[in-house]
Amino acid sequence: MAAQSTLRNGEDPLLVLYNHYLTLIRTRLTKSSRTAKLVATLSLLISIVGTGYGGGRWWQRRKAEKETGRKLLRRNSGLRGKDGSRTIYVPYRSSTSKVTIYPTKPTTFDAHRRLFLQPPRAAGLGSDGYTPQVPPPQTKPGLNLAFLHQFLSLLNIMIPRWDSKETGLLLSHSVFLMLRTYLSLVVARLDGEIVRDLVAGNGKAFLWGIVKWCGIGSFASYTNAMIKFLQSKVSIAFRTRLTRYIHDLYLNDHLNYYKLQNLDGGVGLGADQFITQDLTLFCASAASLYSSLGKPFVDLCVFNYQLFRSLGPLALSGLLANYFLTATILRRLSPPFGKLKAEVAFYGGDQMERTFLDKGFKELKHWMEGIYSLKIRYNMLEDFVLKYSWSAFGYLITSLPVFLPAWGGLGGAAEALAEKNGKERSRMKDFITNKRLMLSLADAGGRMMYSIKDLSELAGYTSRVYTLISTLHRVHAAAYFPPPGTRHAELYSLADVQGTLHAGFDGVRLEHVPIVAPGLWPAGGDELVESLSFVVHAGDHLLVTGPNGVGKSAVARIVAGLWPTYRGLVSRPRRVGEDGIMFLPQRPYLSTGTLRDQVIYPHTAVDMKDAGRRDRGWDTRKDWKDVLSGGEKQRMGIARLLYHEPRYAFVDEGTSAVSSDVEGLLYERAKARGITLITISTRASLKRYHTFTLTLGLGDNGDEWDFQRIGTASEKSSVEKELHELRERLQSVEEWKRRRQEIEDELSRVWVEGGDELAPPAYEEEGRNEDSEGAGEAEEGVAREEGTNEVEA
Amino acid sequence: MAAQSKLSSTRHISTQSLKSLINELTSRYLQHRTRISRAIYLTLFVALISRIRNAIAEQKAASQRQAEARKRPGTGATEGEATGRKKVELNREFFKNLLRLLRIVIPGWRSKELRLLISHSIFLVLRTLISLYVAELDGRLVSNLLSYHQCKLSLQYRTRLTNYIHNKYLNHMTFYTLSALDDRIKNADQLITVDVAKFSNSLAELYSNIAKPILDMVIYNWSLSRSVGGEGLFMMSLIVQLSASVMRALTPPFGKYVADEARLEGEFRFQHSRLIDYSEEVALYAGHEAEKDTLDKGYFTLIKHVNRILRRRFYHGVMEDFVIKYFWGALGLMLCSVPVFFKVPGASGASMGDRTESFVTNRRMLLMSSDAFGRIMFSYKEITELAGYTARVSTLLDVMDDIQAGHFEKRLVSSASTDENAAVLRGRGQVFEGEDIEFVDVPIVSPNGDILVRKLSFSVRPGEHLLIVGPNGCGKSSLFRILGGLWPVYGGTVRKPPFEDIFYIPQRPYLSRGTLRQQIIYPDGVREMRDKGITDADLHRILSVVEIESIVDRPGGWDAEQEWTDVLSGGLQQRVAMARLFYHAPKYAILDECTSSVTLEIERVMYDEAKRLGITLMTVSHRRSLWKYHSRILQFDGQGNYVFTKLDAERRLQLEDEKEELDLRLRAVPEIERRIAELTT
Repeated sequence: MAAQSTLRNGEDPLLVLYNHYLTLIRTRLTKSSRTAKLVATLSLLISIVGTGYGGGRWWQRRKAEKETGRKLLRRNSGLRGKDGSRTIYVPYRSSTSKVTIYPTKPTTFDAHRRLFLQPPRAAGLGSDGYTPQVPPPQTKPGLNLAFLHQFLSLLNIMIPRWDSKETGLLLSHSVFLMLRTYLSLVVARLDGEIVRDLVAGNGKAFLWGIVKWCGIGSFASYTNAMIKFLQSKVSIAFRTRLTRYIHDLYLNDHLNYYKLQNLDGGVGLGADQFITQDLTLFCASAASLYSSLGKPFVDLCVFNYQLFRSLGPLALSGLLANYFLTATILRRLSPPFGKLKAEVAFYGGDQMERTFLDKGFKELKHWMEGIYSLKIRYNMLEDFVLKYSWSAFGYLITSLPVFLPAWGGLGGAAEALAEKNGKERSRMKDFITNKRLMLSLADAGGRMMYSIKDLSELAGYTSRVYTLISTLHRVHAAAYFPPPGTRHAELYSLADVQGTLHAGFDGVRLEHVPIVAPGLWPAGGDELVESLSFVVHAGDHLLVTGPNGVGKSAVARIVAGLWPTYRGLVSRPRRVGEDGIMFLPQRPYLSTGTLRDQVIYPHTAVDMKDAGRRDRGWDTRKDWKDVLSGGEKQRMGIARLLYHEPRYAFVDEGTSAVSSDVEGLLYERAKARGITLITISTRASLKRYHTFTLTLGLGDNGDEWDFQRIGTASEKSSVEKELHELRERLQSVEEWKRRRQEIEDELSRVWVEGGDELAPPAYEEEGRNEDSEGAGEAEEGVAREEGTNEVEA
Repeated sequence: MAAQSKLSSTRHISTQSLKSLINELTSRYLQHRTRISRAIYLTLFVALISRIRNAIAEQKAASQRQAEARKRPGTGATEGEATGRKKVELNREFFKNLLRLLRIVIPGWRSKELRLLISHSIFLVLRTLISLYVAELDGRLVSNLLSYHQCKLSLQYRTRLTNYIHNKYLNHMTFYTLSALDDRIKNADQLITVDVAKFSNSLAELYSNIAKPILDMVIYNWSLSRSVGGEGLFMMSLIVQLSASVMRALTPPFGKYVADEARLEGEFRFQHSRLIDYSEEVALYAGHEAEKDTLDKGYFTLIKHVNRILRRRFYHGVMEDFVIKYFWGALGLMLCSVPVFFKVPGASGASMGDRTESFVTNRRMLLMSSDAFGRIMFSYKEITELAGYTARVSTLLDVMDDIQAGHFEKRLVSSASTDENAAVLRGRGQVFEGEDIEFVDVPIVSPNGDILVRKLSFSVRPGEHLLIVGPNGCGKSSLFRILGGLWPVYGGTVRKPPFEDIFYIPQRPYLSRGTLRQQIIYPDGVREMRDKGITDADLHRILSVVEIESIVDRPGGWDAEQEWTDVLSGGLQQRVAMARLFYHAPKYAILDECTSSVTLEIERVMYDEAKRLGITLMTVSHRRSLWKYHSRILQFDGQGNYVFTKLDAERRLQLEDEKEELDLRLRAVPEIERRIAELTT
């Protein structure tokens, strides 16, 4: 319609431009020499061919990488770089994506220990300066120095260097934030122009304004979307940094993942909650803080400065005093809404009892009505204070330079002097400007208030994440000290570890080691055995036996280094490699991944290749925990042992669900491979595969032990004695059974009034027959078992 | 279109014939403008009505089909599954349920709720009017009052609904049956407390959230169309609709993405908690490197996905922001410019001031109207939320109605699938009221449908104290439930005294909140106690029988109100329960292990006192010491068999003791044999 004419005008210059350049190029072509033409053609050809070739190469490399990615994704393998970096492939859309992870250096952890374990005294953390108390028990999450310290410490992890990716993200984020402010100004001005043209009835200018509006609008919307995008990106970058850091601190040779919950207990059992959920929330709120706090803060500074210029110091201080006054009044008068909520919850779900329920509900109702009326009154007060008293005060302040020019600021005074004749207009202008400034200031203040609410939320998350990392650091560095005031730590607490664990010995040796089940820090542990000493050399197979709960598995844990060695000396081989020691846990553990991964755990497929072993067709991924039966899981454990072929192996009840013939086979196989076995079991039948036996739980208190060679005279005689006793006891079994039957008959006789016997109903007979059949079956079972025992013998 | 006459003077257009044609068309249109616009409005209105009718008809047909489908599969235990998974939708069902609940929360024309609602509406209209006529007045006070009204309303609704539900829930043992015999409602207490509150909140909110925007939209659009002409408004809404549908078509499936993200996040978390579960095993294997790979893989899978979502969201955000903020804003400006550049019939003069004024007003109205439109769009989400709560609350009401009508639904887990059991479960026995207790061939069925005893027959006459023994889960509790009338009788004949004559004392007595006196006379109230002619002195005497008169001397005396379950020890609680029995002195009493925590001496006193009061006792206990107080025994063996006989306490005791001893020895035999086998190998 109206736009037609403008459109046609716009088309013509384009055509003109096109024609102009066409003629320009034509004249150039005709003018240039032949060699130049040749060289140009050649270079064009070469560049085309080169690009094609390079592109093809790039494409092929990409394809090959995708292929390996798909293969490696399935095999759950970790590739190790020369600098310790790991390469993993993760599924992305329909194909894979490669991620290279660089490990955190151990020196970084050492450097950070200062931040997380020895908080400065200025922050009001460490109670006496030298005892690391982490997490500081007396600091509550809130806006205080502790929060600042915690946040800055975490920032050290999140932004490790000035030239890291996060810095770039934050910088571009702030650039876009500023751009947004600028664009909003531009849009406002444009809006004014459009309105002016509209009111003036200037149709052409109006349409041109609309076009400009759309153009700027597209740019502004790009900026807005970019701000959101960058904010999420920053949050993700923070999260990635923290997650990697925590993973490296959590899963390393210090076995922190075990100690964190079994020995320290600083974060309870919910470490997964900390690592996944709280971390995410922390990062999201830290990233949003930057944008939500940054703008109002800049605004506040700018506006306050401008007001200072035009109004002078007195007015500004009055203004600030007013802010503080109203804030304190409101805080004083605001009812404790948080507390009220707790009461409601208390009434919420309780037992169901008519009268009490109704009564409870009525109370709840009164309570809520009270809250509502309180709320409405408070809201009215708040509105009144914020809206009216502030604006009244604002008018008062803005009128200052009008009445008292001497008190005014620099700008105001200068202007007042300069423009004598236009005084009225200048006053008017000043007044309006100041008023607008005041309003903007109030607005920015309000936003600031809201973001302070966000800030206290962030403080909560910060404290949680900080607690996690500092607890991890404490576990990592084993930084346990007796509580301040006492000189000695509690017996067998984590601060009372005096023993030594020595790895690299060819054999397993314990010298005066107490077997102690540790308590959670700062409690002390329970002593199971006061002092245990034995030595196992290569080829000496040891059977550790004894009743339940005397600390058989505890020996394995102490040797493995899971539990601290409180006193004495523990010597054992290195953990990994063919001359190392391997532990088979009591509960079979199956990882996620292929069947191969199960066997070679904790190796990965690439490690296996390096070790020069081959396989085929083992790439089936299943939930192996459910697929395999209990016995199969235990056999998987033995298979792992045979695959790794360590020099020593600790087997904790590794064959309890395997039948005895297979058990024998497994033991013989392991011994043939030259693996020295230390078995923990209650099965006496395992004795014949071992040369030594360590019996725990002897004596009246169950804290004595006995270490002897199998096959010696004393061992045999004790067995004979026990056998004799048992056989004697079995003699009278038949007699007992007969008597029991008699009694049952007697008891099941039914009388009615008068002493007559009542015939049992028909179904009861059936039931009894079934019973006797069941008994027969049981006996058969016993017979069968005896048979198998004989076979074994 | 209407503009051409004006524009033609300033522009040079070459084709004269076209110009004349357009001029003619325009003038014709202007002549019949009112008629045409009326016709358009009428068509729109008719279309709207027919659409609504269509929707209603569709819903009707759908609900009919559903009802038919529900009838077809017959009545059986599996029926609950089909109806249990109802999808929450905005259909006729929802409106029916909502209407039903509305009838509960607003019971009549003169109720307080309606008054509140009316004053609420008045304030709503007031606010709109104020903001329409007074530009700068922010109706703060009014909106404060509005929010107060809203809270008040929600509370009133909740009160009505809670009272109604309590009435139903606590009558006729519904609360028990709901949890024990029916599995359609899993957590009734949560439904009553949380969901009812949410329902009332969202109902109260919804009224203001829907009523106000609709009101606003109608008023603003009307006055806007008066000042800028209906055509512009019509065109604009058309373009807005068009661009909105284009935008919707271009929106990526964010819901799916978010669900994927949540799944990946869950997997990552699961890997972490799995590591914690197996920390010892992993530590023993030193498998942390492999685990770190797994964890990192989980994390980066998640992050890659999140990054992808972010990119999609970025593109979408650019588009959405542009269309909503700037494109629609430009449209609004164009619309406001209509009265400036074109002459709208009915609008006033064309001076600069008039133009400015009309522009400012139009713009403000446009803003408010679009705001209201956005809020209506937004309230769709709230309606679906309300639909969810409505569905939950009305399901509760339905189920309670069903239960009061004697219709249970329960999915049975165990052997109920076998034909025999099903046959038993389908049958119903007969129940008579009489002086004594008699069971003839009654099957005893466990809560999940297992048949514990196929046919149980026994009788208890006044004065014949009965001892019931047997292992756990043999049907003792089920027997009591039948006696208490909580449980249907699946077969045979039962004669039992009325419910009031049987008193049940469980092992852990239930102590209600309230005064000490209320504990003793529970479930009577103080008034009933006075009516029975019992004084505090009598209560004191009862307490002295069980030797706990000292608790009256505690601060507060009879009127002390405390959380009695915390204050009294287990033994004291059992004594209070016995005192309750002596206060009520019923004909029959079931004592379910109720003396497990008191001394033998007190036990003797209790039984003697009960016999003195003429209470016939049915005791469940493993304590031998109790045998001598009974003359009959009902013994279950836990395999479906039972023995009902006269009790010769002394002789039986001896035999039982000997049997136990032998059992103990025999149980050790396999262990000894195993040990011998081990030692001999």
